[in-house]
Order: sequence, then C-alpha cells, then structure tokens
Amino acid sequence: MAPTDSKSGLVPVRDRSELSPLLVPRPFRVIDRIQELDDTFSLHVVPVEGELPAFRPAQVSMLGAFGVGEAAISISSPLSTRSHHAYTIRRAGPITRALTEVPIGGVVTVRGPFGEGWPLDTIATKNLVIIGGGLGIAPLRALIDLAIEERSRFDDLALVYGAKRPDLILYQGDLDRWSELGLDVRLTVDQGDDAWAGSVGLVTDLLGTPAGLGVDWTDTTVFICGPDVMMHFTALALHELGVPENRLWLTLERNMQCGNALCGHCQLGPFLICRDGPVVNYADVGRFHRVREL
Amino acid sequence: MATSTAVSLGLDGLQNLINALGGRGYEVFGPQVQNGVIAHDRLTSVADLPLGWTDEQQGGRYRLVPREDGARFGYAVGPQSWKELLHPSRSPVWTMRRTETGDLDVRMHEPEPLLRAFLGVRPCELAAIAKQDRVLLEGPHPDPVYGTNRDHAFLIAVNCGDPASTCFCTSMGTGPEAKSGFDLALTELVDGADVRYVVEVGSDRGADVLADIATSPTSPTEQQAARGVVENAASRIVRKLDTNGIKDHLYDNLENPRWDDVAERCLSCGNCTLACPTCFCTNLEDVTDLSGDITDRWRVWDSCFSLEFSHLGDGPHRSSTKSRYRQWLVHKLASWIDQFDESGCVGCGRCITWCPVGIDLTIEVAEMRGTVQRERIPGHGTN
Repeated sequence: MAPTDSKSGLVPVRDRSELSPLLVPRPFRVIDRIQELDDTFSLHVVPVEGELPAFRPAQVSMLGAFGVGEAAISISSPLSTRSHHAYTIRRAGPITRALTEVPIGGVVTVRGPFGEGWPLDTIATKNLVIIGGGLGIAPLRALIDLAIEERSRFDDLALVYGAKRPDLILYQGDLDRWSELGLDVRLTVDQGDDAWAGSVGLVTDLLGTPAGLGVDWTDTTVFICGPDVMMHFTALALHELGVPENRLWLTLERNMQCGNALCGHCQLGPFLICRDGPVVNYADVGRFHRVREL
Repeated sequence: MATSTAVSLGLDGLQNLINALGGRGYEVFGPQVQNGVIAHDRLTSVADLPLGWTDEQQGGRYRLVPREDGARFGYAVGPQSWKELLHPSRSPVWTMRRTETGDLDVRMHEPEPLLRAFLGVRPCELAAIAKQDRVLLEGPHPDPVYGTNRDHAFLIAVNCGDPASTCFCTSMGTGPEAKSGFDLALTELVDGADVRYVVEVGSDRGADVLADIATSPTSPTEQQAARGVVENAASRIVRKLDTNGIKDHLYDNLENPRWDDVAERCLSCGNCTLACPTCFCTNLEDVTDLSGDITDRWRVWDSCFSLEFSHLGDGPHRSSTKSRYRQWLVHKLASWIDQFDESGCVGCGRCITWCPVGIDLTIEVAEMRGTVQRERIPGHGTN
C-alpha cells in the first residue's frame, strides 16, 4: 500500500510516483543527412546519450524539431543496422520542413518507437507480397530486408511499388540490391517520362494481370503501406483476387501526438493507431477504413 | 462498505466535515452560484452552498430557478464537471533548453501534489471519473498529471434528488445513487427549511476523516428517507438511451443519412466536448520564448470538432461537420467500448443542455434506430 501522505495523514488512492517515460523526448544527434528526392530527406540519428532503442519494422517515433514540434515518422533503416536509425521525411508542413533542415551534427528529439510492427513471424502462407505507394515504401524498408533474410520461407516473395513519377521512386539503390538478392521487384508510375520504359499505371494494374504479378493469391499474405486511397483500392482488388481479408495487413497513419494512447488524436473507429497500429489486419479495420472521413 | 456504518449529520456537522478536511490540509471545492450557473469553486463554509436555487435544463437551455426549501444540493449538474481539477485544461509537460554547446536539455515538469476535496460529486460524475481513470491511468502509460491529481483528491459524493429533464443516468447505469468510487457519500434529506445528511463511508480515508467529527447513528426513518430520495429521483428520470447492442448498431450505421441531418444543425463549436465529463482528448503545444533557446510543451484540452484535430500532411482527415459529429458520437457510445471495455457516456446530459442548438444524442441514436419517441421526452424542441 502507498505510504500515508505526511500532510493529510491519509493514504493516497494509489502510489504512482513514476512518470510515463514515453512522454519524455530524448535528444538524438544527426550523423548523416541524405537527400532522397527534391523534398525528401533521410536523417541518420544516434542517441546523444545511451543506446539505440530496439524497434520492429513499421513502428513509429515522434521526431521533434526544437521549438517547432513533433511529427510521426517510421524507422526506415534495416534491423541489422546497429550504428544508427534512419528516418525518411518528406517536407509537407513546418515541422517536417524544420526536421529536414537539421544539419549534420545538429540535434533532434525522439519519443518512441511506438505501436505494432509487421507480423512477419506469424505468416503461414507460401507467398508474401509487399505493396508500397509513394513514401509508404519507408515503413516497408526494414521489413523487406528482414523478409529477404528469410527468403527460403516463401515460394514467391515480391514487392510492388508505385510512385507518381519515375523521379519520385525512393531508395533506387535498395531496389537494385533487393532484386539481386531474389526479391521480385515490380515498379509502376502514374505518369512516365521519356526515359521510363517500365509500367505506367496504378499498383492494382500489376496485381493478377497478364503483365503483372502472377502468384497463387489464395496462399499469399500481403503487407500494404501507402496513401489511404491506394490501400483502399489495393485491398479491394486483392480480396477480389482471392486473398482472404485476414491475410491483408495495412499500416495506417492518423494524426499522432502523444504516442501513449492518452491524447485521442489517432483514432480510426475502435483503433488507437499509436497503441493498436500502425499495422492492422484488414479483417478488423476494413469496415472502418472503407468509410470516408472516419 | 456496508450501510450499517452510515451516520447522519446536520448542517453544522457538514461544516465540521469541511473544517476537518481543511485541518488535514485539503482545499475543499463545492457547488456555488456563479455567473448564473451552479459552478465548483473553493469553499470554506456551508453558507457558500447554493441554498434557494435549482436548475432547469433542456436542449440548448439552462436556467437557475429559485426554490423555497433548505436544500443545498437541490439541483442536477452544472456546466462544469470535476474534469478541470483532475485533468486540467492546460498543464506543462516539459521545458527544453538549447545549451551553449548546441545540445538539448530536457526537464519534465513534476506534477505538484495538491490535496483537494470535492464536495457534491454526483453519481454520474463519479462514473465519469472512473472512466477517465480507465483511459488515463489504466493503459500502458499512465498520465502523471491526472494520476497525481487523482491520488490526492478526496471525493464526497452527493446522491441526486433533483434530476434535470436532460438526465439519463438510469440508461447508462451510473445513477442516481452513488454505489462506489467515493470516500464519503451524502444523501440530503430536506424537511422544509431543515436539512440532514445521511453519510455512507466508501473508503478507509473516508472513515478516517469522518472519525474527526461528531456524528449520530442513522435512524431507520432517516435510512428510509434516504432511500426515498434516490428512488424518487430515479422515477423522475424519463429520458432514455437504448444501449442494447449500441456498438454494433452505430458501426452498422456509419453511413446513415441521419449524420447529414445532424450536420445541418451542428455548429462544430465543441461545447459538448468541453462540457462532457469524460472527453479526455488533448493537444500538445510547443511555445518558444523570444530568445529561441527555451521551449515549453503544454498539454491543452482539444476537441474532435476542430479541423486541426485530424490534421495529416495533406490537410484535415475529417473535413466535414458530419464526420466530426459522427466521430464524437460513435466514439462516445461505441468505439470507446472497444478501446476501454465500457461506454464513454455517463448520461449526465451536459452535451444536450450546452449544445447551442440543442442537439440531443439520445434523439439522434433513437432516430438511427428508428425508435424515436418524441412524446416521451419533455422540453424538447424542434427535432
């Protein structure tokens, strides 16, 4: 029982002297800053003091720029990288702008990582297909490395990645490396250019079509990360091809602030994305994800 | 605790209780008339209590009305719950400084333990505190500010004798009688200008404080009268919310055209979320001083009715009023059950009273169920 309060002589309701550690931002130093695209940068960071925290692919941290605020960003470096964590950030507003402008040697803050990662360990299907749209490839990056390490578990292991334009394809070096390591990489762009000889169209155009990916969809697990509208149509198309809903996994983004399931911002129906996500099973989330503005 | 421990107090005994809490270092907060409403504020005397007033409430309307008897707790609920004192509308989280070497120094704010006693907590408000306990203390990361305030709050419930037309605690299973979660619970017995209080002990702390003052054993007549107060109150609560299967019902009706109908009336002002005793959502705000070297993080109440609430990179996720009202109602009555294993609503009716256009969630749910019964709901306007 909690000790008696010295002033009132009464026993407090509970003894709760510990602060919640996940509310405390931790300073990390930027050791490298890589320009991936015109408006997209990867920061490589290490803690100013102490060890790199463990994480699971798709987990999200609240990355803070001093004096500006925090944004939810997933860790995009492979698990095997012990020297730093990488965060890939697109400039969209004042916080992400400030983060992308932190120089090498500068300091950002990190809270987290939070949430549930991809359930790679529990997959029982013969095939694994990973589908990314735009910046949605970032939370998939560590997963892809892990899946390639376990290549022998799967008959077919494929990545379908869609970007708006050829110059917006992220991680070109990784894509080449992954191909060489036995990942079936399929790229498509919404709009090609003179140099683009590949597929033009949506990621759904590469699923189950003669020109696209041919796998036994009834024995396939699919991990999807991209804009909501892309995940919506991709999930519908895959379900149509015979992938059961419970073998479709999405990673969701909602306004995330506290990361501690206390602030209420990151709700989607029954889910608190910071606590129950970002990776969620489509059989659970589908009926909510299909409703606009929910 | 068993009611066999019940004792009774006169008005002087209630004053002694306030004094005893003061002697133990507590600031006592209780109901009083302020700005035309019954509000909670610091109180040192029973003379501060709202003698001679009751409240009349309906959709979009609240009025204080004189009463002739000696009741000090002869009203339903005011606009404030106890939320502000436990889960403050604005609290500091941390201060961060840029050091001379360019590094960052982070100091968390340690919440200050404040001994505070709440006099006049309604049973629905006790239920609301228990719901906020669940959200803010019983998850994986307990909230330090709420936890500190909660641990040091002494709760004196007062059972309901005069419910308002907006009350529906009987549907939510939260009132009009306090069953648990209090240190002491009072039932006010009004006999003309005289009052007595039957006191029930709910905790060891409650027993300790009660032992500081002189009390009389409760007579069988007083016990019977106390039962009569809550039975009478229960019989006067006519508003209903059918909670049977409500989660699935609302999940099945996310595209019901009724949401468009509400959106035509809803001003998206967020009053309901401010008045609601369980709404817990907060925003994190960083404020930097003019030197640019010190940033304070504040946590402030937020509302799911604001556009910023759902902001993502490309703009608000819930840009329509319809989607924001739906988020509020479906969270309160349905998804809260999935998130925290219970409803988020206690049936206090504040969201009905304090909605400037009188939107009534009990009617909205009944409309969606196709079971609206307008004639049974007194004082209702245009729906």
